[in-house]
Amino acid sequence: MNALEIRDLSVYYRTPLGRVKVLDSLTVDFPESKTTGIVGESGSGKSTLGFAITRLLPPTAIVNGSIRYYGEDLMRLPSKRLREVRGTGVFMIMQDPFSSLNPVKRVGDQLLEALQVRYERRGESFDYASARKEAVKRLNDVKLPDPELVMTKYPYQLSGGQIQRVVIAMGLLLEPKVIIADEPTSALDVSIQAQVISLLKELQESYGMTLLFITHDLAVATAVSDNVLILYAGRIMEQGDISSTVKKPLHPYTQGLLKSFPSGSYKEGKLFSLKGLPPSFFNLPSGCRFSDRCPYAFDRCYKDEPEVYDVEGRKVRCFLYGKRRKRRRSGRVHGSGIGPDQVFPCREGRNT
Amino acid sequence: MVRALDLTKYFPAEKVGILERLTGKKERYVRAVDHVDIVLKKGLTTALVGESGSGKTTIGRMLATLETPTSGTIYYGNLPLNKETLSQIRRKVQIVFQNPYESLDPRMSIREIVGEPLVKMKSEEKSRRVREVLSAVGLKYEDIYYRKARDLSGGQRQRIAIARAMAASPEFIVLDEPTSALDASVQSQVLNLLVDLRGEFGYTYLFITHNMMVARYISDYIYVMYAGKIAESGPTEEVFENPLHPYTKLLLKSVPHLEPGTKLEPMSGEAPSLLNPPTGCRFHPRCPFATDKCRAEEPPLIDVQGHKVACHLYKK
Amino acid sequence: MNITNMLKKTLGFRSNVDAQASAVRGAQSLSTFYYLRHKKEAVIGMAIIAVFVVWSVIEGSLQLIGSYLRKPSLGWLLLPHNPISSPNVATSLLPPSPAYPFGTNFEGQDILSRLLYAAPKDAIAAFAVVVSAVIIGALFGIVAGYYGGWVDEILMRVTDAFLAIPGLILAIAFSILIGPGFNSVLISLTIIWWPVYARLFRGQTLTLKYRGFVEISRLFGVSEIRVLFKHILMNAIDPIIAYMALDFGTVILTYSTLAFLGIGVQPPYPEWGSMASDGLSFFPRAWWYTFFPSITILLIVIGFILFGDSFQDVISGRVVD
Repeated sequence: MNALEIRDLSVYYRTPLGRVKVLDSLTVDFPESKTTGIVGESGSGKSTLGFAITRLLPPTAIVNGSIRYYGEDLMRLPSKRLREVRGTGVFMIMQDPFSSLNPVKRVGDQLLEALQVRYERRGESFDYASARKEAVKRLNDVKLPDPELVMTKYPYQLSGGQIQRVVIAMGLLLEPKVIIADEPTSALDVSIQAQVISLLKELQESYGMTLLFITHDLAVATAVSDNVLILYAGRIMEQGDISSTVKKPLHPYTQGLLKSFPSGSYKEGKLFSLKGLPPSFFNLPSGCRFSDRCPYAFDRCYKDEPEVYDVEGRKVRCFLYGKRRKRRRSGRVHGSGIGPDQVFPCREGRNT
Repeated sequence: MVRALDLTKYFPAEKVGILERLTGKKERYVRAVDHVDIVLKKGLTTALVGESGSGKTTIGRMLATLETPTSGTIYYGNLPLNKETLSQIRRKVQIVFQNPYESLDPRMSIREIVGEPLVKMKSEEKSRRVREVLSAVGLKYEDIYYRKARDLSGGQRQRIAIARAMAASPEFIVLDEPTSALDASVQSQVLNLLVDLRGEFGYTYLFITHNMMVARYISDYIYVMYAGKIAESGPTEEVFENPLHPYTKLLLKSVPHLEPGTKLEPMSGEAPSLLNPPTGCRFHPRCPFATDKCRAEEPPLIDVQGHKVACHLYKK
Repeated sequence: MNITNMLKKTLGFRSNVDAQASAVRGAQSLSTFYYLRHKKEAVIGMAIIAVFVVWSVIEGSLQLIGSYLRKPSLGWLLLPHNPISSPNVATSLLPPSPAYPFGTNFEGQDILSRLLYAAPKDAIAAFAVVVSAVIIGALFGIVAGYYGGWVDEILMRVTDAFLAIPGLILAIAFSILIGPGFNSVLISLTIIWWPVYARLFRGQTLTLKYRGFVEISRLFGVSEIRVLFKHILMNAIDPIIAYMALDFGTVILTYSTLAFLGIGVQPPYPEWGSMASDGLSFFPRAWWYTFFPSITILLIVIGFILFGDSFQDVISGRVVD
């Protein structure tokens, strides 16, 4: 069962220099009760995807396509129903912890506010005492020391890591089916990041939520996800379970990302680096969007954009995987005719 | 070679007004850096690793002469840092900041930015030198000299910051998290560039970062900081192969790796307040091996197994 | 490149490089105006301002040359009627007509001509006051913000003192001291105007002085004056320019208010504010007498507001990286 099914999602932004298409006919499923990592560099469109699902894009954005949340198309919902889905259906944790909470309200009040929303939606009457107990329990669940004390604090009195945990607690109180976390740990220290990641994973497993974890760091995605999407220039380049994706990456971009991770010492050689820069949405290359940086690009890559091909249960958008079935049958080479195993052994180049 | 002895920096925690002083309110200090010794070997890269609040940025700024130490001395070669030697030393020291969006004046053209350190040069000479350093960092002068920083990408801006740092031919460059704000694919480009430049021009680098893997890659020596003090230090490979301090060990275990299925083992607790640091060893509230001695006495930095540790678990 | 050579000749650039750089920078500010061209409010505002400024320059020059050549009639060369003609009962308080489009005043003078004649003074007032206020304010604000400590305290307390001065009282005081008239109004207005800019510049300086590029300049041994000018002033001015655009309108309004109260340009010379005030006694019988001057003031001020507002939007977009 899929918690979210996205079909042909396109997002444009209106800018003084014209319309920019940031997400282009994105089609992807998010299976329920699993963590899907959405990995992309800045400018890949990953945050746009998160905001598109919660319909929190700025007014300069134009959205087409459908986003089905357990069968309901979020794009076509009347605002009343949309409000009901927000919070208790789909919850979002934002990147900057300090802009997620109201700075002039105490933490406790904000958590109780969230609970009020949940009670209302379930048609239950709000009981202050039990609500408060639940809020404190959740603060405990997110491993905040002294939860009673935290309830009385204002956001400015807490650190970034603590605020993120409060936001997660708020999420738990709302009991959403889907949580979208937009780079929740990028502003945090390594050790706090580890705490927040472990926490999210634990909670996701115990409550069976669907977690969408947006990040630019493939290592973080590895630690937290079951499945992963690799976004580049607004397109999904690769999709699949995290283990195979990291061990046997299919798309040249994914391989490049994995290879550029620093490991060992500079004395052992240079770091691999993808040449060039991610394209600007005003100036996308013709054909495959990765073609100008791809070490394996050939003629077709510059002319047409590849479709998504199925490979061993995963998906990849790359001509190198086109027409595999035909190749197997006839034995002759079609397209590039090179399969993944021959040319792309996992993590070549340096010993980890 | 840059040496800092007994380096300390306390920041006043709040402004104490005249009236408050009269009624006996005491000044409180944030003990950002507390009696630290650092040695940077010439021509090599020393990494300063730690989380926010560890004091690494403050040390970097002091070594770059942007902050004056509350106490302690810094030696650049044989020159001690003081009022008289300041301008002389400043000619040999440069800094590259983390945020490429902040460190370049949005209103200046690239040519002006990179040429700014060349105070004493004439226009012709300046242009030539700017062209030189820009090409050293892989940018074409013609394409870029007239442009404004705000039109360029993060990676390009950082290269320009590096070019600017190189322009006046310094000997020592402080790099304060130079790649932390960059995308993964650009990070490796910039790291490679930094290694090349050091090889070619013989700079001494102080590389400040919170990213252990980057620190491991780029440095020859490493100092691990915690709450204003050095927890562990030594040759990089030594420290990574054989981490001794509990903080170092736990830190390494918190770093996400590209190994699917490994569970992260996060540390408990949070970094301590520097207004009122814990007594004794500053790490004891979070240390799984803390003993009474750790709570009472601050551990000295001692030589163990080829590198230095500040932990009571070890004897000389 | 044509533009390059043109710039080289007109602005005397020494090398191709600088000229080209300037051309590109010009192109970037052109894109600001490109944006503004497409916003209705901005266009209306700009149109009003353009008409006002162009007319003020033309008429002002005529008046200047006229007074220099001792031929004051030059000042009303382009006007339908003599704005300071001697009182004439026959033409007094005539309603608007083809001959007198805005009607006449009590002395029988054509109101339209008088409005047009008075325009340059308003323009000069706006320009002189705002620019002086910015210069003085920048000096105080930037120095106070950058150096902090007791320099900051002293400069800011002085600023506060000036801020506390009630404008009207000061204007009256000056008009008694050095005699009523245009100059005394300008001085009074400048004195009460600059403190706001001092605060604005100080605020900007406080944030700017911690920015990376300012800190780094210290390392380079760049002289402090250069740092203050090149880095801080140049960056601080962006949001303040937007404020200035709005401020021109405010100065005109204040100037007219003072004239309304009798301080400023004295009869027989016309001034919008005093015309509006004189006309009040004849309202509503000779409604045109107070109506047209008031509308003129309103129109010009709105023009600046419309433009200033849109300009502010663009600038804030530009400053936020």
